[in-house]
Amino acid sequence: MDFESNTKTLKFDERYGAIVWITAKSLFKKNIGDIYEAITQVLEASEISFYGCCFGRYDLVLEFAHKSPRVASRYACEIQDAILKVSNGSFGPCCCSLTLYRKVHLPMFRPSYFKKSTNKGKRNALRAYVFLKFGPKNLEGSSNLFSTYLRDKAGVDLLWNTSTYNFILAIDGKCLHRIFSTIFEFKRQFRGVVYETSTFFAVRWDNARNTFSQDEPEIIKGVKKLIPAIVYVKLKQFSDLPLVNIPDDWLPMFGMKNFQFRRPGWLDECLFTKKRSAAEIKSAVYRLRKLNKNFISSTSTILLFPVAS
Amino acid sequence: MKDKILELWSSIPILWRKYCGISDEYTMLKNKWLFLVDELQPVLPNLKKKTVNQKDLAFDQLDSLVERLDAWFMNVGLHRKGSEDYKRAPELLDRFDLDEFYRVHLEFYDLCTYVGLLKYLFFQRTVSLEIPQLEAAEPRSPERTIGNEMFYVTADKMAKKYAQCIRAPYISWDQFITFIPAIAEDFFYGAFFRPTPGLKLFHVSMSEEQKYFLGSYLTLAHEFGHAAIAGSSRSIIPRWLKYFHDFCFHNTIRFQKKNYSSKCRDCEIAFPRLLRARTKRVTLPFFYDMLENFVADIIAFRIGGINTAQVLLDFAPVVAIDECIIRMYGLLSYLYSKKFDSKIIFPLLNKLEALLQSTRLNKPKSVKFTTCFDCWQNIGKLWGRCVRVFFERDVRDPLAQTILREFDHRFKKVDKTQVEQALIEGRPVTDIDPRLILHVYYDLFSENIRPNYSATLYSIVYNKH
Repeated sequence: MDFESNTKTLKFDERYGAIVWITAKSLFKKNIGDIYEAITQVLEASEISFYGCCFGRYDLVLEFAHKSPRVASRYACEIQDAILKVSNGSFGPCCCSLTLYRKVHLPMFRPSYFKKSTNKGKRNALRAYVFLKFGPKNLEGSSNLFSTYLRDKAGVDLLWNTSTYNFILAIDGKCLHRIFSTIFEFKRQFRGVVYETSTFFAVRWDNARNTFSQDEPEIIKGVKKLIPAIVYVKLKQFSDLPLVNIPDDWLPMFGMKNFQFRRPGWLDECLFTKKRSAAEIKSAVYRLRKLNKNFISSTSTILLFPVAS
Repeated sequence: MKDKILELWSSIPILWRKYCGISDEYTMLKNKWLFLVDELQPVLPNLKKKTVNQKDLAFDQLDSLVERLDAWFMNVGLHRKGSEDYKRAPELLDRFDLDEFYRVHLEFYDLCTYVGLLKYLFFQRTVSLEIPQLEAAEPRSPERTIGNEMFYVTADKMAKKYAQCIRAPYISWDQFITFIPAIAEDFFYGAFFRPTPGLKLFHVSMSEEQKYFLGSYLTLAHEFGHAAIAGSSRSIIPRWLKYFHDFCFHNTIRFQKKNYSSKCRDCEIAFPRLLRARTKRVTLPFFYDMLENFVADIIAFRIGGINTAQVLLDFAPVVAIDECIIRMYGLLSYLYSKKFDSKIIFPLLNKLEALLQSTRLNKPKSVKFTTCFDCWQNIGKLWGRCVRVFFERDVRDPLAQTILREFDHRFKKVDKTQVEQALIEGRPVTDIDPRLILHVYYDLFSENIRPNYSATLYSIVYNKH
């Protein structure tokens, strides 16, 4: 059974969604607000359903919807040009990648996302994009499986994507650990059905307060659970000297004090931190970048979720 | 008339839909390109001018083309951000101009061609950046086979050098070389010259397999020879080339008239064909192409040295031997009349005659030979004489004016043996004209000596001359 006939059973939202992934060299926290302002010159603030900072490959992520994919694509180009104008001088070159999707209405599935996005007061601080790849035969009946599984999951959207990753699971939440649990549970549920996944986490940017929206820490037995993160650093110029300005809240790895891990790979340094929330990790990374602005070209952060074996 | 235009309206939204896709693809690609441009690692050339006073480069020209097309579509009611409401279109018929539509059509296809080329080049040169890694960063792969960016940069650098040596009055080079799937057409020796009329740019592609042998990059000189004599379209060519064509055509007719016999019936440039073309006052495409190639060969020789002819002879496929005869004999006759060093001319002549001899003896069955070798040989010699007579009678030799920097065959400033020694020993020489380096590289190969591949590559890529 081919993909087309499988997707016939699915119902889609009328509007198209666009996810713009933004990468920039030497980006600082103060630039995030400037970029938001540039974006709002192209789009109305009410049209933006998500804008935030991404962990990993990309720096920023923007999401908006439009009834025409052609116009959405045009907006993505204009946003890119607008950001480039802002970047002139204040931070390095930047570029964007675009993902176009249509939201799937599965039977009994509560379409939550677009409604929620207009409700500014109750916006979740975090959003995760789980890219899902299926083998062709596994698509058969997958919509039924999804509908059963996702109907009682609030804040989870299924997006149909035309790239090699057939679907995207967009998960909104206030707590990173709980989002991860949802993803982990999903993976366990669809073991053998989903062929490959790739996940991006993002923290919402609160432009009114000019900082990241604060997510909630996971509390177990009254103790706030910490999130470990590895931060890879690309230096502007290769040097044998370690980074000097490392704040105190950055931890030694493997208990090795006074040690910085140099990497022989493309990324030059490896640092480690543990924070209560994703917003705190992001803030710490941007502080590190600011303190070492003459040395750091870019960073790539990997969030870790220890699971008992 | 109005009905016809109304019919055309139905095709405009289709063109517009295509245009939307292409234009957005171009914008996204351009920004990714400029993000990756790094002066220290010139994998991708910078195609955008840095200062306002600079000459427009490929991205600048394409940007203004996109602006023009956007404005035209907006004028006929198709707005990029508006709703896709085509019903309004017939109301705007009064604004519609058929000539304009034709121009837009051509410009749109120019844009498509360039987006295709840019995309092709982008993927070729960044293939090793996309190898997935744990950190999802951008490792530069050291692999030699598919992702070795040095091949491409070497081609760019050589092309840039040749571009600096010619004066192209109508078109400018787009600053990059692509390697395209090998074309199995008869006359594809190594590179391909492609002018774009709307943008006044030209692009040069090389055959995919050529990148593995640096000597093949000599063929670029011939393509830049084309650029020196080409207009933005075939109807716009330098006046002197038109006169030279007529001069050669007239002399060829006279020659063919004397030597015509019944066996010449199938010949591409037989006397009756030439006569018919002259009577109808039309240009014979085959004749024109061959003449243009011949003039490009002369320019290539003058900017790239004798090895540009050598490489043609070494790589000329048997199926293209007939055209090769005229071009090579023409060039040799021209060199002879210019009293060029006989130590270089005669080995080349001997090689050419040996090639003809072996082709005569072992005619491959798969190839139809319609050419009379002796006759074409004489036409080649005639053309060589024509060049001397035509251009040397003019005080302001237009052919010489197309050349800005002549190749120095005498190696005045450089000791050739020093370069040879360096390339054999694997020492890069970055302060010597890359044309000389390539020339020496090919000479060594012709003598069955292996110059160091990496040293030669490095000498060209990081050349400071």
